[in-house]
Amino acid sequence: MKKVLVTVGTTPFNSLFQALEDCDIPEDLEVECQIASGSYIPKKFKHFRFADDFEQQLMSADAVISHAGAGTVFKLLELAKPAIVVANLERKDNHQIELARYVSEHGLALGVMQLDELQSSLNRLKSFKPSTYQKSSFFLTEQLNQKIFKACFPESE
Amino acid sequence: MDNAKQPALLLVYGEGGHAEEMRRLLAAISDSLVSRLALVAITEAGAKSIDPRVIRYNVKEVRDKQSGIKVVGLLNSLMSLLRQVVRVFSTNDVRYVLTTGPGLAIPVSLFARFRGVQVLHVETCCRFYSKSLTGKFMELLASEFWVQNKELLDLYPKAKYCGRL
Repeated sequence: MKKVLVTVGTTPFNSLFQALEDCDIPEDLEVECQIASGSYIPKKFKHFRFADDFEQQLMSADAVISHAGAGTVFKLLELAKPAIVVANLERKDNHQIELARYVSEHGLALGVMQLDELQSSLNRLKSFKPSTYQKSSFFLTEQLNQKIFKACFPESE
Repeated sequence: MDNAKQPALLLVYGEGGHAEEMRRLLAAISDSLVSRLALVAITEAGAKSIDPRVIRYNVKEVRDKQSGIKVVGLLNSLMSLLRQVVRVFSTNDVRYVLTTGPGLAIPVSLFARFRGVQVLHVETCCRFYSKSLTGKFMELLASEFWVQNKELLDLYPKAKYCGRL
């Protein structure tokens, strides 16, 4: 059995779990849901709200269905974990669509911008191989330090 | 530490990813420089602690992620923010401001620039194809506007690309 972890971070995403329960889940996938403070309790899947060992949960999952929160998504990309990234449109700001679109366009994950796309992404998940994520890390360290130093200690110039 | 005399670095950030990005930005400042500064933060009450050396001035969240902006709530939050901003600038010798958003960065930066203090804003890593509300204001207010995604350079011509925190 392949373990699929569904995670929504710290923000409720009830509609994701409702949509998931309406989907045909391949029989060899065991789904476990991290539901945060959401009010919808999945009937078909095991669930928990938060986990102290969340990092470990991510590592041990064979695949992940995640809300498009930057913290979790970039972690998944760095782990090269096959993932479906779902924009949480229950939030008032809908910027999660951008991250879902970005990972989809770059082959880094399967992006779901609307929940009616979830089934087709689930069908593709088993055979999906993510592209390698090349992180370009923060590189303006010297400039940052120089600007702060110059502003805070102008007498040193 | 005598905050009244020691040059202060003001950090402005919100909850969640904004706090994490500020934590990483702070980690990029050398220990030798940090040790000579007072670290002061104006942040949302729910934001996690990013460094034990930082003295926090908490404010209410301006925009709730679930319910959005409500006018009465917004006015209360802005009043709370203004009180904290005045308190911070009168108690500390703020020489430079770092912000990672969200919206509370706007009034703080406006105050800072009015006082002749420079502001460096790092835009959120979650945006690729459109400007955030904070970004629209901060590209005008900030002395330096840095973006973590190259795609944003098309939208913010004066921005610098800095890589991802």
